[in-house]
Amino acid sequence: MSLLTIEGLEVTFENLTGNVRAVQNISLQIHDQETMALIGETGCGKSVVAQAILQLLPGNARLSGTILFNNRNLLQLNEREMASLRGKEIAIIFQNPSLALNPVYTIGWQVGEPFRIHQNFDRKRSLQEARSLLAQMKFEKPHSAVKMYPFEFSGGMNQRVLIASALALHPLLLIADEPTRGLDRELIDEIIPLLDLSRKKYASSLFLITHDLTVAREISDRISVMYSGEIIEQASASVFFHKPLHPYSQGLLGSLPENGFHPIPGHSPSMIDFIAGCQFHPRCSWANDRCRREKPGEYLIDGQRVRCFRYDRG
Amino acid sequence: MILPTKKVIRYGVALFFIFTMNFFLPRAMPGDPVINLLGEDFVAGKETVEKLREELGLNRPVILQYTGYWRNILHLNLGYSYHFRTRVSTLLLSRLKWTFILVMPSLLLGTLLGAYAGALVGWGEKSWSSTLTFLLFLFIYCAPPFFLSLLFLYLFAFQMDIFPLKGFYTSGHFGDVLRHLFLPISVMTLSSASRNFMVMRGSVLQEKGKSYVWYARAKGRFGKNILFRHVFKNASLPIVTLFALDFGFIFAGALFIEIIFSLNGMGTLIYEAVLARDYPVLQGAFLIITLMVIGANFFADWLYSVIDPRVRQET
Amino acid sequence: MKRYVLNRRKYLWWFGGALFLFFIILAVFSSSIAPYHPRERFEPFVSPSQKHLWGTNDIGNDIFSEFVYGSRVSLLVGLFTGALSTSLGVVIGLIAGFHSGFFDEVLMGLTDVVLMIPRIPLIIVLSAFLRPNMWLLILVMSILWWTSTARVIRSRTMQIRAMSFVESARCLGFSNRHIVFSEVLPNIFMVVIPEFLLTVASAMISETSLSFLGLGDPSLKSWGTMIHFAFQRGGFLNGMWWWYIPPGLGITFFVMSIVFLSFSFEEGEFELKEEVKDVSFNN
Repeated sequence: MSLLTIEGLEVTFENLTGNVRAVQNISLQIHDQETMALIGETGCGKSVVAQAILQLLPGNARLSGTILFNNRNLLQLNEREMASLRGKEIAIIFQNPSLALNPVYTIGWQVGEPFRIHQNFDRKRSLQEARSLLAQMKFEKPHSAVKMYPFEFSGGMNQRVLIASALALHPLLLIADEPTRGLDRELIDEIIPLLDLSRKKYASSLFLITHDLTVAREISDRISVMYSGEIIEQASASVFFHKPLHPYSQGLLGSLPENGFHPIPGHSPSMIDFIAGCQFHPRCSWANDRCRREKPGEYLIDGQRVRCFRYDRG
Repeated sequence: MILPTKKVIRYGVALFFIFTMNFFLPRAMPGDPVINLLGEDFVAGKETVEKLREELGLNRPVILQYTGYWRNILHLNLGYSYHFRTRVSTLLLSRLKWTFILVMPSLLLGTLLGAYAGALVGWGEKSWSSTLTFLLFLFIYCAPPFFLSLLFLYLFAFQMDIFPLKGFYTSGHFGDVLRHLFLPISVMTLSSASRNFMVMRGSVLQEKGKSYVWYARAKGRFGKNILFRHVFKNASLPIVTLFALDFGFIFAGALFIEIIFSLNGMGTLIYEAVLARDYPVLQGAFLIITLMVIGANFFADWLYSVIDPRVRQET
Repeated sequence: MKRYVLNRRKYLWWFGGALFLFFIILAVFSSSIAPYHPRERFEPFVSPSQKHLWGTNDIGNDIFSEFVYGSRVSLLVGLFTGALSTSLGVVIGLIAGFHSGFFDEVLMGLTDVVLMIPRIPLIIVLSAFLRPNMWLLILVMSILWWTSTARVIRSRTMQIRAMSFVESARCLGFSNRHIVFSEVLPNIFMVVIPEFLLTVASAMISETSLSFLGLGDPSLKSWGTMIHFAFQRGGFLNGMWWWYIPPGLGITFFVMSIVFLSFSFEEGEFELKEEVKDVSFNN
């Protein structure tokens, strides 16, 4: 059962200096009770996808396509309708948790906020809920934690606070936008299992956006790979990590330390560069003339989707 | 309540320094120190002047004069005014009361009005009404308080005859007092509001782009709710700072407003004292005003630490 | 919609600049613009007429000419005070920001104390003792007005000092003095300008207010002095608004134009930030 269906999503940013196409023709589905990881390098547009779902993009963003959630097209909802969804049915956490928290309010006030916004709890009751949430996030002293302020906590602790407030109302979909960026290995090993467990307990599905392949491998059911604003491969996690199809995916896996640290030649294009044909062809060892001229469509191979002419059987 | 020692020292030093400056001022100015200390309304023969010179301790070494000065202050003895024929301290206190009646409500109203309007204008989309509000407050901000008073007086009292021209009251009824106070309090409120408006608007504009605001929206907060529940507290910090920095200016403005509206407060007192060269009154007034400015700074520091938990650590 | 908004903003700044220029021209070319010399005497208390655009005052001077020449005083006092106090503030801020530790503590302590001196009351007290004089006023105001500039420069200097290019200059062996002049100064320039402008504005308002009290330089007829005489010599009670409203509006609009200009320096930065993070919430 599909929880969230994104169809033909395009996001363009209008600037005075010109338009920037951040996301081109993205289609993907997130199912009930699953963790979908969106992998890609910095600047490929994955955060834009995440923000597009909740319509949290800046004012100069132009969107087209459909995002279906619970039989509603999210792109057609107004701000008020979206607001009633956010934090309740779809929640988001992102990198840099310390900045996401308001410095002048207590942790308890902020974790309890979803209850006050969506369920009209009063201060006292929302604080109670906050305490139990923090306990479940493995905070040792939730009673004193709720009285503290974000600047007194470390980055890792604040990330756990964010996760707590995101899961407060048991959202159907939790979006995690680079939740482990900037955290060291130890913290990552702490946060990721917590995220996984929490998702299974409180939410239905997790949309994990990351550039870290090991993190993706640890907890995802399915993988989507994004490159330069496009989705170039989609597969189940086990299949993907065993046998990736797209040359870029193969390069990604090849660059992992355990596989020899082979970097992909060249560098990824920025959003304003224009590349004709297949976005990856300048760096692809397999590229031929067709790749330079035409844009490949998506081809279906045994349940795996890939955007590469190599798999064009037709 | 947290009283960080560093801050206490800072205020103590400022107080000490300014009071000391006040001691040396009349002695450093050109002219006979006796006149400088007693005012030019003081007329006496040479013998009396010498006797007073002895009494005032002007023949003693400076150190002793200085300690004597502090002793007087601590005993609330600010000297005697020959022009007004009364003790300076009594005079100041009686006039101060009236100035407070003007200043207190105006400051409160002005801060609230300016902060609220500034927050709304800073938060909302740019529109004709927000630009107009901005220009209006800018005009008030740039107009010297005394001119604003003149303008108001001309428009509302002179032309339209709605309000009386001068004084605190003619009949003593409460309603009458209100009528007299309406214009001066309005002018002062608007003047204070304009400054708060500018600061708040700028502050909200800055906060608007911060991550926690975006995140509050991601949690499901909507529209102005975000402004008032999240941004306001953060954005009001510069307002608190403004209160401390601006107090001297605002208070001076109040003095001018009093003069125009012929209200019987510190402003008219100082004006008369300047014309009569009544130095003891001027010096005493200066001391009192200094105390108030330092007090305002102290208050602002305390309020800031109440709002922003991050500064509470500095003990 | 966005493009339109940006242009409308520029309107305001151009307007401010034009207004400022207008007053500058008034001040510089007073002798050509004013129909008479401000001390030339005609029939007193004349209402606005053909011969006297804004009438005459109590001793018969043409008010319009007074107004035109009055702009000079405001401008002079403002500019000189601005220049002096900003220079002072920059020097103090640079030293404090660059050499943290002892110098910083001492200078910041000094700044705190000077900040708490009630400025206008002090000047009033001093004016009672001394004969009012424009240069004295400029001097005293400069000594009192540098604090906000010093603070701003200090924090900016500290920011810049922490940046890597200063570190690398240090490593390469450049002397502190060289670093301050070639690396730090160009960067604080953009911050100094609005501080300078706002100090000018504040000084002008203060000078006008003090002159209104009669504490201005009697040899120079500033706008404040004009209003002082209007108030004292029956201009107000007789409803002669043409005497005191124009100089009052003059100072207000002059200051407004300066404030506009200073905004264009600050909000230039604001605009950049706003564009990148433009969040429209009301749809």
